[in-house]
Amino acid sequence: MATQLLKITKKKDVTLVAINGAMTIGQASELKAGLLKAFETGKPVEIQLAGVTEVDVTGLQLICSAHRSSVERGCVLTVSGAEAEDLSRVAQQAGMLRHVGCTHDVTNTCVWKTDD
Amino acid sequence: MQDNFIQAFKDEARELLADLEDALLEMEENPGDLGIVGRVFRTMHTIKGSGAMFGFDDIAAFTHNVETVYDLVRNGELAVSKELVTLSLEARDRILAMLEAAECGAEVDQGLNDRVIERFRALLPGGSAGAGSSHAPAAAPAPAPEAQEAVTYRIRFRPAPGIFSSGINPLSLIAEMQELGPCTVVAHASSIEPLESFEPEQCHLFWDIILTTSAGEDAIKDVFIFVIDDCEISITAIDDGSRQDEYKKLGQILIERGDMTAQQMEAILGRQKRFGELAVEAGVVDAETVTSALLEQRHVKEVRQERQSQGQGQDGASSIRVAAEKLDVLVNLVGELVTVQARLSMVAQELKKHAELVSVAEEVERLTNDLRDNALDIRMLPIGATFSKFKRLVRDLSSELGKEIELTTEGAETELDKTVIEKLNDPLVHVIRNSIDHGIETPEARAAKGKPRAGTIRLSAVHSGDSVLITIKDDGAGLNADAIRAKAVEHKIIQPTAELTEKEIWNLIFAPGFSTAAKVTSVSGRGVGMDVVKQAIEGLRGTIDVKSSAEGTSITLKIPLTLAIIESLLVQIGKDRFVLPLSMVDECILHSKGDIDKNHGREILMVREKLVPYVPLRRMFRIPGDAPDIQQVVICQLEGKRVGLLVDWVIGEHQTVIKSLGRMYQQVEGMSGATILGDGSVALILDVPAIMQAAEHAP
Repeated sequence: MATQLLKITKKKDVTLVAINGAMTIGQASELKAGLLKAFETGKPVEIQLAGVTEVDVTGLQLICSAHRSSVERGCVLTVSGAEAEDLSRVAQQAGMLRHVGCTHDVTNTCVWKTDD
Repeated sequence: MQDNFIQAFKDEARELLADLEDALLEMEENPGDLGIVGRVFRTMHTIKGSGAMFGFDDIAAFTHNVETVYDLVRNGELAVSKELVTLSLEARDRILAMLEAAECGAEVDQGLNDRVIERFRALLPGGSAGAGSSHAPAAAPAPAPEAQEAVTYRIRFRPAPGIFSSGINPLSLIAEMQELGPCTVVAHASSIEPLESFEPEQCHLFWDIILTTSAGEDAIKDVFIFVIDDCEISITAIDDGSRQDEYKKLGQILIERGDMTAQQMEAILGRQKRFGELAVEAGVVDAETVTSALLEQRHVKEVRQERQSQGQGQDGASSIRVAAEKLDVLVNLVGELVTVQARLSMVAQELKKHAELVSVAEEVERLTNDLRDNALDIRMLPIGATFSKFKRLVRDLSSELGKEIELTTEGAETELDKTVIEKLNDPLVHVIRNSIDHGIETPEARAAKGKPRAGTIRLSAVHSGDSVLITIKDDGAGLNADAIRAKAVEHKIIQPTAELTEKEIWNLIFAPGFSTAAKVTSVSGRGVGMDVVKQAIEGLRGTIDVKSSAEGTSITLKIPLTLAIIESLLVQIGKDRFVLPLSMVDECILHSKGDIDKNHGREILMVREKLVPYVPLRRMFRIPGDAPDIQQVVICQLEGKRVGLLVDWVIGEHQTVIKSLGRMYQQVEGMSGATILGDGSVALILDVPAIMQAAEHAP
């Protein structure tokens, strides 16, 4: 059985969203819908990217968008597995990594912040 | 002034040609590597360009024809072949010949040049390039893209939202730009909506890209050529490398980019805080925009720093060309200084009550030592340049002899004094030639022995104490002990009955006039060679060690790092003092009259249950007077043998600045030079190998 692209696990105090597979334009709509659903639980959301095999600009944007949603809803978002080599390389190449978050990052929780 | 430039061109051209040779040989090994082809092309191009600039029209015209061929190779229209490499190597030699001819005002063999060019033409599709005669002066080359100065550009790249639907990936465009040069990429993510209103299949990001490249603005435009209608792109040159002052202030960058107006900036500057924070607080720009501008600032700063530290290639300030003679003069002066300093230290020791003098003398000693190390260090060169010359030698010789030989090198970065490296060249050529000619078998013979058809010669250099070990190792047939022995008997170098150890047999190959090669080839077999090698290496105060088996031969040259100043041991016999290189000394042992009687006058002594012969230097040098009751034996290690030198007493270690003996004394056996001691007197430097030889042959 093929692994599910997006698997939502509702725990007591967190909603886990594990993404397994590509985060490219072909999956963008499906992933967006899944992420929205996760936020509707009202609990903190953790996006697990360890299983991501490929990412493009749409994937990176999606993470930003999810972050913005979390800021607006006042719901904590954590992203794990973004430090995987492939993913961080693309993020680096796309110029996503930064010291200061974007305009919407009023909670100072931008997922792309680095220290170097 | 012009002469200076011309000299600079010649120097540069020599380096380029050496580099070209390396590149060509590398290209032969990796014919598919377009990077190397590019390197060859660029080198040819540079030679052509600067040749034309300095009036070497013949070189420019000649190189132009070669370059034409490489342009095709670079574009994949012509394949790299062995023939092409051979021809290119020949062309490289012709360029060198033209350069040298220009230097001494000689005529070049134009016919030979034309023939090489003809053969290049034959490689071109259709057999002729129509590039005109090789005499026609090459049109002054249009400034090549790679010759341009690096310029930093600011590129704002805002793709249309629907860009993904046309199958374009902005990341690949960014990747293409990164290939042009150092690149700082900042994505602006502020227009991304929360998930509820987010259009996942549209592009919401836009980028500021700060790129430093020498490829020119057109190359950047080329990157965007297919998306130009779907994007907003602005390219601005912001730094052309001509200015080294502080880069623009943040506000200036923002204004230039059109992100804020000058009035807005003035208003903000009225308050005193970091400008970036102020700008964000004022709500004129967002933090992201400021970050992007800050990164631009940092990028340019870094590029400028890089430029300064690299000295921008040829004409920067970080390295300068100095005539070798000037360095030699410097090293000589430092040598004098070391001598005087030793004297100063001695005087200071004698006048101990002047504490201040002692401390000044110590300070001078410390500085002198640093100065000496630095001065010698300047003359240190990596041996790699010498190694790479041999690639060509191996390639040419092996194909001449119908053998397949590969040369591998190791430790090319090992540094040796420039004068030592120069003197090493010839001995190494001899040894390598010998390996190729006698050592490595023909492919058929190798196959029959179950060895790979292609032989290998390994050149390696490694530091070992104050020496460098250079090993030439081949996987050939090895030395033939019986043949060497027979030959030595035939040449009356040894008695037919002589009993020799393996090592002694191997050392026979260094005897003058010795060659076992069955026939004289153009490569070797003339009976000169190995004895020349030995002389040259001993001239460098080095030693040679030979190992051989059926799996191959390995010859190790042990060479001191420098010739100018050595660590040595100072000894005394009667009133005379002598020095011997510390690198050869194993240990010093007391030797009393009683010991001599015990051995019944035989000149040997027992050291840890091993017999060591010794040479009484007092007798050898006919120094009058009686030896003291207790003398000392300095045991030296040479070619695996231990031999003692009997002296009156050992004074201690000494920094020896080597002075050559005058021409009158060059033939004196047992001395290799002289040095001046702290008290101004002269001490002779003992030539240990010569002393041992003389003692062995003494009746």
